[in-house]
Amino acid sequence: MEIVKKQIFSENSTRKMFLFSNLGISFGILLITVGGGWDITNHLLNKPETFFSLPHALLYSGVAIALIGTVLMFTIWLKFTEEKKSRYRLPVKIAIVGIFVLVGAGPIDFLWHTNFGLDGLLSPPHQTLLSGMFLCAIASMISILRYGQAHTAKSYSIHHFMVVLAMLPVWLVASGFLYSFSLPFSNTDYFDFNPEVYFAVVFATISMPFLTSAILILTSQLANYKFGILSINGIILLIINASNSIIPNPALVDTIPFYFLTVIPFIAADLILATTQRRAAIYAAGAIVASTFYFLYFPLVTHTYNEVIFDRLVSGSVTSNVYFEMMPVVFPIIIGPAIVLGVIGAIFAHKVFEKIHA
Amino acid sequence: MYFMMTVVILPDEYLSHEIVEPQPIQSTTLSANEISLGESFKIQIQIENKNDVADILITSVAFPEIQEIGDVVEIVSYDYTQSPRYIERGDKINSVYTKGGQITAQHPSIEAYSRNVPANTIYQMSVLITPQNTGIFELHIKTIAIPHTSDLSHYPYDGVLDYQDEFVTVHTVTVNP
Repeated sequence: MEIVKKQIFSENSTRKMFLFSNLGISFGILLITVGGGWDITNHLLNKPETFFSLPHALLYSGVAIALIGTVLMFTIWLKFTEEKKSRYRLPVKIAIVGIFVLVGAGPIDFLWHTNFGLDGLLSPPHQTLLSGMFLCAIASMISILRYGQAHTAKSYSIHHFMVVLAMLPVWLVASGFLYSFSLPFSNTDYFDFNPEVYFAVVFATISMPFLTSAILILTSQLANYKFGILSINGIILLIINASNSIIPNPALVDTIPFYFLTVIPFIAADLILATTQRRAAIYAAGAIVASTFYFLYFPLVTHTYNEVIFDRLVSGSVTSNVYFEMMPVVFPIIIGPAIVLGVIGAIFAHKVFEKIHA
Repeated sequence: MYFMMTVVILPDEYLSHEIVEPQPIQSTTLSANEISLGESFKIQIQIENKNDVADILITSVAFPEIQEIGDVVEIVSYDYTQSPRYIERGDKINSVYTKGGQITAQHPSIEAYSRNVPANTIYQMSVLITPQNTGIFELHIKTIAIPHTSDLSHYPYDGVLDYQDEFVTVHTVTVNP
């Protein structure tokens, strides 16, 4: 008698579960970056003397969710047909390497603390953590975008909005790398890993507008230039940054209206791309969003430029004073490079877009 | 219009807001002005932060007469919000109320820290000192509030300057044989 194997799940539901596992990884990485950003502010304002804090709880919850997501992703991938396995082989491999690096960062961090005490922002354990996070975020981004490729329609669909969840963790983790090499938060009892001040300023001036443009233009391209997707991506980043870095500091709360004015250039760029996709329009949109980086990365960017402009002690209550005092000096210098890097970021976004759709 | 708002109009508006001006007031009590060698004396320090919130409040008790803290100094009570920091000779410390850059500590001290200190908050610490030699045992005590936005953001306001170029109150105890 022939035993007929019955599928418990249809192929369609298996693919949907694969998608959800990747969304879970993205969400886990998002939690880690939100917890990490909050932790930076907590250390700046409160210098906590215990490991057990709310930011750390959020961060490690994110690690657990990303780990579960990766295990599920791999398990479901094994059930795919050969054709589907081949399509998702790359992101699965990247995710597995990423989760090993991410989870491995924990013991490295523990060993570092045991031997050298508290580590600064730029340290081997933190860079290991960021590397693992970046790989996981890239993996889930590729999977989510490849899943959505078959569903992209002219009218709005859930897959357009999934582009945001795919891109946001990548943006946040990449921003974490940029902060590591531009903020003066890495001088500890045993090691001074603070970036050299002029290097930090040049690095921030080049990398931050480039990243802003690359991410937002790519977001719009992946959503078929549907109006709103670029803006939503930018607005969510503003909300996350405000929650992490502005709201916890009572002296900065009144700068929230100033901070959220950054929405205006995002919407302007979004409108341009929704109207026309000519090369000049794409470059213009990239330049517009890139020119906002000094506002987008407020308040932490204050510490980078202060090292060169004023070299003052920037405590919580005077952060906005120092930031706004620097504005007439810093902005005229950075706007030119920001526009150029915005165009370069848009070109890079197009190349990545072609690669993802290859 | 957007850049006019964000680069000119709003910065001017935010810069017109008053900056916080924390004003620490320090009071100290010595248990004895004269002791015999082998005996101990206690110094009690109380700080009240007036006027405005302070991001950080630092009270420094320095000991110019000793080479290292060791068993000479012991904190017996302490309610600042952060753990004290023990400065030894040769450590890097700030000067001129954080405006003078880093210099090398010339003698040991204890720094007590509190963070996010609302106005009208009081902290105290008591230190038990057992001098190892006879003579005049000197203590330099001062408190600094950060942001250091005025001459009232440190205490004392004038008098003796220490090697960090900061004003200190000087207390002495005679140690007899």
